[in-house]
Amino acid sequence: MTPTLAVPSLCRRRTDEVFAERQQVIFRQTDRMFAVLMALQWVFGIAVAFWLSPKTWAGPVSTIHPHIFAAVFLGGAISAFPILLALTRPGRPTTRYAIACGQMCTSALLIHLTGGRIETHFHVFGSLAFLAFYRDWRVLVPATLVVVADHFVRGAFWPQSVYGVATVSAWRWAEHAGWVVFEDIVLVSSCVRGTRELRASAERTVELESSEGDLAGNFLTSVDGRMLACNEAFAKILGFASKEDALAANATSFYEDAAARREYLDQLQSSKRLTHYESTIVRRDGTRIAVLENAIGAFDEQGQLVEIRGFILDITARTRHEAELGRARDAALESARLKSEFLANMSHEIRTPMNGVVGMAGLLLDTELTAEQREFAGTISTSADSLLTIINDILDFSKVEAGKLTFEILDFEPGPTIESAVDLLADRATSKHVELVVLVERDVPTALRGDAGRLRQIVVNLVGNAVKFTEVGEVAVHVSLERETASDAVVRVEVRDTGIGVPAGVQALLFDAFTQADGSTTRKFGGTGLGLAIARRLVELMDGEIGVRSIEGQGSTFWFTARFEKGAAVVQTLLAAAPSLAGRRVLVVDDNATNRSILRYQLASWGVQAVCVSGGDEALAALHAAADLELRYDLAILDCQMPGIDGVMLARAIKAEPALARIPLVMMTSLGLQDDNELRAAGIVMRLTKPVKQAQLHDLLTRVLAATGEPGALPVGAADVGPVVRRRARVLVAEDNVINQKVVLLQLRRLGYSADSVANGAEAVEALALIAYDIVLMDCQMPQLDGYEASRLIRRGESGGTRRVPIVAMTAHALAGDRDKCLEAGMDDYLSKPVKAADLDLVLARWDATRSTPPVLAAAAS
Amino acid sequence: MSIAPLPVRVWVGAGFAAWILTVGTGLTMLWAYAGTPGPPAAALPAWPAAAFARDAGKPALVLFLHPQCPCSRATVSELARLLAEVHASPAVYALIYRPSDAKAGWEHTDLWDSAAAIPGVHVMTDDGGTQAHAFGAIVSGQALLYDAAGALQFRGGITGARGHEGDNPGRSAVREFLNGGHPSTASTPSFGCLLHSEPDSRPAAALDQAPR
Repeated sequence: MTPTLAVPSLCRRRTDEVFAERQQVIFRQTDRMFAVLMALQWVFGIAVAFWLSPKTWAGPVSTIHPHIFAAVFLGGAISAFPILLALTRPGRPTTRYAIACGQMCTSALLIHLTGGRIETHFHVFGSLAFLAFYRDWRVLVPATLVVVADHFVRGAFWPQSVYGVATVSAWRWAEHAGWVVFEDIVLVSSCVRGTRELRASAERTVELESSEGDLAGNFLTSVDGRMLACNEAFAKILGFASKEDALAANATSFYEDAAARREYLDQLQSSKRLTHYESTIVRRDGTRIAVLENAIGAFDEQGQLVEIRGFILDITARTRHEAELGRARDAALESARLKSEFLANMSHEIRTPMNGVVGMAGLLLDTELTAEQREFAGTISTSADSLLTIINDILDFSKVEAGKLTFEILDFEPGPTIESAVDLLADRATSKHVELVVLVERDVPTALRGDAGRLRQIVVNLVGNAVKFTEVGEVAVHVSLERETASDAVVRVEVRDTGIGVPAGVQALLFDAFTQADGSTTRKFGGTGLGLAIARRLVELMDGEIGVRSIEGQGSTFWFTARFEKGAAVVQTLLAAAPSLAGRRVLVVDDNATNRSILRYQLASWGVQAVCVSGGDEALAALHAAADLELRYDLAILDCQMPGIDGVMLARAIKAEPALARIPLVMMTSLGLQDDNELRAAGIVMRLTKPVKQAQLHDLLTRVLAATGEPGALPVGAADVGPVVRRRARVLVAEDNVINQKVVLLQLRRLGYSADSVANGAEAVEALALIAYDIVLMDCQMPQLDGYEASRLIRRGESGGTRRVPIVAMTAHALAGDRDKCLEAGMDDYLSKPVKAADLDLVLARWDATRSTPPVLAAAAS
Repeated sequence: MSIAPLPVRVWVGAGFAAWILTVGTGLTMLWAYAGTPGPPAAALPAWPAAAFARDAGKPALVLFLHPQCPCSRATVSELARLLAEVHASPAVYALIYRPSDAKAGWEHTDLWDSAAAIPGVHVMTDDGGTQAHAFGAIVSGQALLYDAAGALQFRGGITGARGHEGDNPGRSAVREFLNGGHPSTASTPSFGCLLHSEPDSRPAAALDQAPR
């Protein structure tokens, strides 16, 4: 028959546990204390023996006193065993009993070593008092027995050493015993009282545990669900009227199903205890609540779970709050998404009519206008452009916030990409008379893989800010290799300007959205404050960092790093030193020191010997000096805008001297600032447009310094020096990347085309409905409506007999299948991205020429 | 066939027992040493002729001390206690042993100072132990009590064990005689270091009169 389990009080068992735990703590601490004390006593005994009785004498002859041996060996033996037990078995009864015996034996030894001094007898009473620290009266028993045995044995064999007389009367023995018994009574009482207080403290702790503000429901159940004990809080949580009602229930009924109970028991069986176990339980009235539970299992000798003890907390409210928080978070995310969608839609709604304004203003400017009308139309066009820029910034920012920024990963050349971005700001810099220079160090890889458009966007943003905030001086862009591995390269771009600088207190906030240096910046310089925030996000997506160093009133250096994969394609090594360039001598005349150092660096990388001077007088002096030494300069590169003797005057002066006239002259100038006829008349053979690009400079050197080694007579009107042919065709560029848009627009402008841009296929369809563009350059991958679908829509609209506008695809994908896809969508030709000016010229020239003839499918551009 | 290891508690119990045994043996040996007296003084019935001159007409208590003997500190303490308890003013002599080849001052230890600090105690140097030899004293701490006529009344130690202060029969006997009574015992064991390197060098006269 299975014995029935006694039904212990939940609290009493827990109280016993807490009491035992605390008692153990006291035992262990006291064991450690005595271990130290006994070691000290041993040392003290040795010291006493050496001090009081170091030697024994026989006349003049001395030997070591037996007390020394007693102190060292007997004292060590007395202390060693209790210390060993205290260190290895702290808290055990044998340990403290051994300590008790050892402590009293130490008293006997010390009394003997000190010659029975009355004062040393205090050690006996002091030791008994120390033993009371255990709060265990049983420890005093062996201690007292040792004292009794000491008196008994000595009293029997050496009575005079104890009592002073050979025979002892009973009252003397009783007197000695009485003092010890007296102290024992006091100490035992103290131990009992201490134990009682410890137990009371344990009971209070258990009460606190079980109350917990009436929130924790304590329970004790058997493994088959019988309620063995619980508190009122438990009953309340489960919906019972009283503790007794809860005890009458079975715990299995609190679970939603048997599987849940089974899982609970299995976890307890395997892990012995559960902590922060969340589950759903069923109350008496059938409602379900969420609870948090801590439980400990009790196991029989076979290791099987027999009882479960623990407590539960009702966390239904907390769970509900968490769900509400989750819903609030989802609502906030949805709200942010809707806001971004709204922004995108609104931007489209605003941009569509703006495209119309821009397009119409462009058309208007192409007509015959009075000066006043031209000024008005120009203002409309400029204002519309500015507004479009702001809208594009806002749209980009909303994409960043919504995490919808996409990257187009292609192989690209970092040097030309950054140079073309800087080129976009050349006109603005020239108009402010700010020198704009760019240097790409030779160790920057020539082939990387990434989104060239986004890289351009960052550079345009930083350079644009630099030009905007610089009134005099220069803006220098420096591109270098930060670090590289076999597969990756981290490129660093620094944009240094001599502008107004940024106050120190604002620098940390610059890259936050809607932050400018101060409110007056917006009024004076304009801007939305989004550019740097977008740039920062783009840099972060490129695994880089962005920052600024600035001194107010002196200038700023904005920098960023970006990580790219190394490109797989082997890009033509335009910049490799051609054999014909090595050893050539070139004179560089430029008043800007940065420009001189950049040109010197670039020329030196090709093996060219560059001599750089800062003005016309120095240049003439250098040329004369070389002529005197019969040294020849193969080429002279002159800056057009110089103080005193400008480039044109210097060119005339050089050509006027027979000894110097044969030196080919190249002029560095900003686009549109110089009349090419004047340059030609001054003897300039080629023009370099600022900012000077490496490929452009290399190409020029190669052409001027031909492989024959002789500076051959170049045909006058070589490519760069000559009038820009004005074309009549009007081009619509559909490209979602704003910077790519600007690059293509600039290329078109330089090729002589008028052009407008839109950001997606839908805007292209709408723009074509408004204005009869002659050629459309259509990016294939665009949001809202891609190039393919837009082309189909345009063709469908032409089916009613309207003229067919040539559509040239701009696509990153140049595979045969992509070509077919473009043609199938109704496009007529395609260009591979990144679009090169020469390819663009070829394709546009082809379609410009066929404007008046029915369109035919052209051969694919290479 | 492997033997299961004994539980730890068995080893602990065995260790406990061995420890108790060891400590008990040690303490017993210590107590035995403490209770083992030295050889008794020679039983000369009267003031030796070869001894130093004494104050005539009053009882004399002669105490022999080795200046380096640690156990004799208790003897000096007992002497002080004793003299405080007696009504009479006996002549008290403390003879401090000094080897004949020792430097001057060898015998001036804390024991000399302690004895000299007791009022009424004459502290003298026993050069080479000649006086101890004359009296037949062998062990430091031995006391000899003579009445006013010079007859020996008590010989032995005035401590109960080596270096152990406290009530003892020797002190009681001397106190009883000096307070006008009869000593309860004529001799007690003496606990202390030997005054001679050869303990049996008793005076010939003492040897003649030693109990057979």
